[in-house]
Amino acid sequence: MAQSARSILSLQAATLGERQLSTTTTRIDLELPRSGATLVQVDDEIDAVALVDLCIGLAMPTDGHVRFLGVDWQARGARERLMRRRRIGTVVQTHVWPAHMSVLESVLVARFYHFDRPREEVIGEATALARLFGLPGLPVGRRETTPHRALVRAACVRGFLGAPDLIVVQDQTLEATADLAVPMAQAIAEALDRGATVLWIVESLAAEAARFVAADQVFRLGDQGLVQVRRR
Amino acid sequence: MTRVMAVFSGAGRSGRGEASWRTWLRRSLPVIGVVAVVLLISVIAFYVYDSNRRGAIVLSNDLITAIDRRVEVQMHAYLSPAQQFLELAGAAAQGRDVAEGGPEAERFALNALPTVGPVTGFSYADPEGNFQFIVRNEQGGYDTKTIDVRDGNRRVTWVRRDAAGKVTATETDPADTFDPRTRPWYQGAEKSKKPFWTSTYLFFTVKKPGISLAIPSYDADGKLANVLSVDIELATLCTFLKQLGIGVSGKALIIDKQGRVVAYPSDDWLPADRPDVTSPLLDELGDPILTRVYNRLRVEGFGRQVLDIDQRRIIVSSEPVKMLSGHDWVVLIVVPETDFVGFVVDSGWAALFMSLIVVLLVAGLTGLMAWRSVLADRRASAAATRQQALELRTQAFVDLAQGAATADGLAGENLQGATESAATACDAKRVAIWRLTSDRRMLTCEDCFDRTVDDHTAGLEFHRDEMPHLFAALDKGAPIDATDAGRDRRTSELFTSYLEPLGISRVYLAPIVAAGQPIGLLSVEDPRQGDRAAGLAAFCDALSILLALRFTAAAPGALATSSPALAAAVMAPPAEERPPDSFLQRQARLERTLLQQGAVLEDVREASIDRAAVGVIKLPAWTSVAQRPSDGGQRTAMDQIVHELRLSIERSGATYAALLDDQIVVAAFSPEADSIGENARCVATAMLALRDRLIEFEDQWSTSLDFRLAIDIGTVMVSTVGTEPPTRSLWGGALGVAKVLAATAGRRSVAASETAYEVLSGDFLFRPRGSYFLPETGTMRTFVMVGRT
Repeated sequence: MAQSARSILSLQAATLGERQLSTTTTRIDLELPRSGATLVQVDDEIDAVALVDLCIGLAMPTDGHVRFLGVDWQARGARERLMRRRRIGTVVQTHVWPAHMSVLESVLVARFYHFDRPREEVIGEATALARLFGLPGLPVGRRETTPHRALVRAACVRGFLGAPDLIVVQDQTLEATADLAVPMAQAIAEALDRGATVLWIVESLAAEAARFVAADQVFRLGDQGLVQVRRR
Repeated sequence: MTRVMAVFSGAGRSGRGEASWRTWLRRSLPVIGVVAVVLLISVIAFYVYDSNRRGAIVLSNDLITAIDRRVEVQMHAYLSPAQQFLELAGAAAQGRDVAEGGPEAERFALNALPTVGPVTGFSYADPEGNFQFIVRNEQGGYDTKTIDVRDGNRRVTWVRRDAAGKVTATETDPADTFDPRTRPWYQGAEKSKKPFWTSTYLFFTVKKPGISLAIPSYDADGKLANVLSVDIELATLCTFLKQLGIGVSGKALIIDKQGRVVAYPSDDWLPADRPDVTSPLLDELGDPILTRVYNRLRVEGFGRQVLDIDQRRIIVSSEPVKMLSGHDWVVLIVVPETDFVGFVVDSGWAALFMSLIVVLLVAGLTGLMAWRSVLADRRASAAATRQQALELRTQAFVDLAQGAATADGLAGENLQGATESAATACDAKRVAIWRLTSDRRMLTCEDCFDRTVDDHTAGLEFHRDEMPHLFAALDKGAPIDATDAGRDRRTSELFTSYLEPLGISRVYLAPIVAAGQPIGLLSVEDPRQGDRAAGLAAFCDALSILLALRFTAAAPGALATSSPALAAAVMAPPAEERPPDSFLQRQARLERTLLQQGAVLEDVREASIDRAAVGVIKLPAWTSVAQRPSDGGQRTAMDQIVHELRLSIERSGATYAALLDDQIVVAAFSPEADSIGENARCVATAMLALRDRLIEFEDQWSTSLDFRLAIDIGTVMVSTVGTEPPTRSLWGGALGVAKVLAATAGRRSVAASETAYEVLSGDFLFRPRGSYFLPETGTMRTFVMVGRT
């Protein structure tokens, strides 16, 4: 737990591009400290996806800076950004299940590509996570033949696999799955214990899945940027 | 059978185009009408305003001309008596000096002055400086001032009179220094040698503004003999000008050709404390409009014109007055145009406002009409849609009836055609026809057509144990229209296991009933709602009757051969003779894993049991079963559950059972390798019995028990504890897999491994649950065991 005090992820005056539900340009200031969990309520899913892309360096802000581990995403080339992104786990449903790969391969491929850990060790960790989230193992079928319930859980495995420094969660179907409330809280608690940082972008702070998460910071993305709110 | 491929559509393209044009026209006409009314009112308002304005301007010109004339007449009436008086006074003086003609002139003046109102004073002067001045006093009488400079002596004498003409005093004024020859009237007359009008100035004696008219008289030699003058006070003329009502803020004044003011509509326009002040020019009055008018008149000359001054239109009339010889005065009238035409603008605005109210009323009524028209269109469209839907369903039903009348009846391709027609007619995502087995424990899909992929499937089976509420509703024979299948108790199990994965939430289920008994089910999944759902229930009910007729007419054996899935299920090979493929794969994986650990399978053979059937029951969370049910006496719910499960396990013939924390492990095994099927059926039967018993507890206690079960077949390790008699404990292998499956199974369901499926699929009903990679087994298909076949 005794990690550096500096932020893992820092958004300074970063502005989202065009927003769906707002005509104003939204400036975002957000500091994610190590070993901290942060909840951000974003009403519109497109805005939520844009915020995720901003955080993980897939999209650049119109203005301002987004720094991951102290380094501005814009100051790095595409390959270096890719290499740094291996330290981020994302729990999302969009564009994570390629048609030509099985779900199992999709979950493991990033770990095999970026790290030299033995296959059995990675599979063992993935299996443990899968069982935590209610799967007997990793699904081996393609996305179209895999039940939706299994895909939601496999996305969770994918996000937490490999002990990433930052875990970004943005999955509305996950929010609607009450069964995952306890496993998610457990996985997040374990991640925080080992010093990771969690950013969970939720559609509603009242979502069952996010109810058990003890967040250090809770925000709502509005026209004036991020507004700190209190959870009821 | 003719497939109904009709789609919900209207007429052809041209027809649609014409119809849409008509609809557009019908909806737009009221708007066009409103626009036309607005334009018409605007044009009328502009025309009325313009014509009124023109008329008002003409009237204002006439009015100004009349005022001009009136001022002229007034001036004439005001000044002519004074001129006539002076001419008569000149006759009385007869060209003599003051000393000689004075007395006669004084008598005349004293008699005539009271009859000449505007004249306040009469002056009689000669070139030597002698002077006689008769002026009205405050008592209404007339005083005579005489200055006699003959003999080189200057004597100034005042004779005061009362109103009756009686002399009240005779005074001398040695301090008087007045010299008539220095006065403007004298000098003007002397210089012009003809009647001379002075400019307006402040009268020396009465301190009031006025003008003087002076007439010089010459002797036979042409030498100036005397100058006679009258003082005319302009107060009355100024009052007259002030009283003239010219519009709201218009004014009339009299000026001379140089623009110097002669008479101004005010009482104090000339300061009384400055006797030497001369009459101001127009631009010296401090009135910005008069200043601008003065400048424009100097450039453009006199006449009538409309000047734009400070964004205001000012009518300026400057007509010369010709009635008096020797003096070119001008009557200047200045009045803002709005004083005359302002009422036109005001009335125009009022008319426009009232017109606006009319427009709003018309627009409101038009909007109401348009809205009613839209509503009528919608109702007509809805009626047309319903009519279309009904016609389509009728046609589909006719096609199905014709197909059913063929030799094949509703079987094979005809059955597929029936589901396709029904799906099209109901505009549904999927339509399936299910047959109920004779023991009414299982629904088998005869054919299912999915419109999104345009393909047919068959063979899916639902077991009564899996969906008790659905089967109970089916027994009643009533159709089910579940708009939210997940919330409807009758379809909630169907939703969880079948509809939800397909993304379907609405379903219409029509039981197929023959002789009062349900024999099948027609399911219409995700049908179109709204107007296009008109007649859906009647159509489905009719179709189910048709299907019932065909099902009862069909031979009992025909069904088995018509459904490949059912045939496959019936022909499932017995599993006792050979171990399943998955079991062999797992054995190979186990061997490989042991080798990686430095061991071989033979080393653990003695401490393991091959092909053991293992079942695991994950009991409900302790908090949900810690209370004492009303019918349980002193025992907790968990006590009762464990007690009942123990009885069931004892009856099942299982060879091993153990309660471990919140899990119960049941196993059946024997040394004989060919008894794998028997052991598996024993444990599977026990699992189903335990599940049913727990469901009974749920109904009995009206609570939800979160329990899960699983079954696997494979190698397990066995340890013998040295008690008396020795106790065996099972661990590892298939037991671990069964625990994992139980932990991740759905609520109230029995999860099964691929090995268990392969061994038991001939006797039990399974539903696939997906393939997973387990480190213990490698890739493995998983299933949910639903019930017995």
